[in-house]
Amino acid sequence: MTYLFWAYAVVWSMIAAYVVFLAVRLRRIGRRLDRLERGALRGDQP
Amino acid sequence: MNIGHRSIPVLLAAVIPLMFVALWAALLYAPNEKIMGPVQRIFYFHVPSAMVTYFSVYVLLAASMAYLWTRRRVFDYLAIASTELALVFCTVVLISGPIWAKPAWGVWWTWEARLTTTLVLWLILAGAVMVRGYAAERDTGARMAAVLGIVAALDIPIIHKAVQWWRGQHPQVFKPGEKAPLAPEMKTALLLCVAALFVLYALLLAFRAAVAAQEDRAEALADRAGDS
Repeated sequence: MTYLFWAYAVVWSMIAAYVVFLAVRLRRIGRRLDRLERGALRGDQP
Repeated sequence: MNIGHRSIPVLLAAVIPLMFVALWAALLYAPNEKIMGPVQRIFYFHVPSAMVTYFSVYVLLAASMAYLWTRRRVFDYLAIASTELALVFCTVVLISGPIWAKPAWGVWWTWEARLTTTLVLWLILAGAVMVRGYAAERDTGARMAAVLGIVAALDIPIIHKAVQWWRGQHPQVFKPGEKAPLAPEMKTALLLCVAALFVLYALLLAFRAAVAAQEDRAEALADRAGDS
């Protein structure tokens, strides 16, 4: 049963780790895009 | 931030209940296997993970060939996503397999044909991910990763046939021309787990490709801001 537990723990940990990786990357790119778009808007103003 | 991909909410709504049903089927519904007992239930995620790995590598092959032919970025986004997902699911296979092998064979690892060729696949996929980070230019990295993606796809039939060609000890549940020796409840549990993992794969593929597109957009904006 220990082996079964660890096998399932590994499967779900790997998938969860990848989802967290995507969420972190998405947040980072969202902030960067906001910064760039704000900077572009300021540059357009006279 | 809007991901901009309409399939993501639909896939997310489908994957959550499917995962619960798959877990129930694998851990409770399917009967214990006669010889190996409860540890055999690793099969219900080990085999579908291998199937998703194979599928992801073929998606990578198609995206890589399309990118090399057309140089359109959308194919590169798909290639990035399918490379990473193939690597994730291949890692799941390479870890869950030895955890099953220890009680079944008495060893964590053996240099048996299927295990070795699967490890080779993992190394090719890891190389394809790394080459993008280390290339001097984005397009150079994309082209090199696309070539590695094609090489990875060549390994899949070798992995699949490895047990037959080299008389390996890895079990073959799905022998060509024969019915799988699974009880009906086991087949149902396996199908549910396959469905759940494929829907999860589709969700993560759409999500990762959308993130790659947003990263490209940010680079383009940054370049324009630098030029102005």
